[in-house]
Amino acid sequence: MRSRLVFFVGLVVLVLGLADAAFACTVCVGAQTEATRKAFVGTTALLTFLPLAVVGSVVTLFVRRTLAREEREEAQRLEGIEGLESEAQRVA
Amino acid sequence: MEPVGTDGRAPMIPHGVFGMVIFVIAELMLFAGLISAFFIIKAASVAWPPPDQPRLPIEATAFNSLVLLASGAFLILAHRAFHRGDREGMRRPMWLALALGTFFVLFQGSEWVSLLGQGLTLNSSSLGSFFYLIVGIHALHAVAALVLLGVATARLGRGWLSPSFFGATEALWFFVVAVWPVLYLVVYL
Repeated sequence: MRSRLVFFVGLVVLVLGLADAAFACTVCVGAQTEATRKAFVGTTALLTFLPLAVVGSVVTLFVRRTLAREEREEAQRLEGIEGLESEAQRVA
Repeated sequence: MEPVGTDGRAPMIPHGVFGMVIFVIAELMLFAGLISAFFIIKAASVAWPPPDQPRLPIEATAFNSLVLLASGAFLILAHRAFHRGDREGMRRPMWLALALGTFFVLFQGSEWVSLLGQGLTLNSSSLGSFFYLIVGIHALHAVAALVLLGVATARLGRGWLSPSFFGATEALWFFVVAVWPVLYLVVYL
C-alpha cells in the first residue's frame, strides 16, 4: 500500500516536472490572419452547439409525446371509470 | 404490425425511425465537420476560389436544387396521405419523389463529368478536394436514400409498407433534401 502511494506520488511529481505548455489553441496561436481566427471561432461554436441543439430537440420531442400519450391514457381511464359508475347507478 | 414494448403499448417512435434518426444525427455531425474544415481552408487561402480552377455551375445546380426540394415536397404529400390511411393517394407522390430524386443524382453526376473534363479534380486544388468530398458524400447519402425510397415505393405497390419503414425512409430523404441547400450555399456560393 505504501509503495503504491509512493509510486503514484512520484508519478505525479514526474508529470508535473516534465510537462510544458502546448500552445494548442488554434485561435490563440495557430490562426495566421483575422479571417482564419474568425473561421476557427465560428466553426468551433458550430461543432459545439449543433449536437446540443439536435439532441435537445430529439429529447424534447420524446418528452412531449410521452406526456401527451400519458394525458390521453389518463383521460381514457377516467372516461372508463365514469362510464362504469354511471352504468352502476343506472342498474341500481 | 408494429412491435410492442414490454408494457404492451406501441413504442413512442417506431424503432426503424428512431434508428434512422440516430444515424442522421451522426451524419449531420459528419457534414458539420466537413463544412467547418472547408470554412477554415477557405479563410486561410490567399485567393478564393483558386483563380486557375474552373467555376462551379451555380445556375445549373440552383435548378437541380429546386428539383431536389420538389422531391421533398412530394414526399411530404405522400406522408400526409399515409397518415390519412390513403395508400392509393400515396402512389403518385412517391413515384414523383423517386423520379425527381433520381434526376437530381444523375444531373449532379453529369455536372461532375463536365467539371472533371474542365480540370477540377480531387487533386487539382483545395476547392476540388473539398467539392468532391462534400458533394460526393452527399451523393452517397442521396443514392442510399433513393434505394430506400425505391424499396418503400415497391412495398407500397405490394400493399405492405409499414409505418416504421416508411418513417425511416422519410427521415433519410428529408435529411438529404434539407442538408443540400446548406451545402450549396457553402460550397457553390
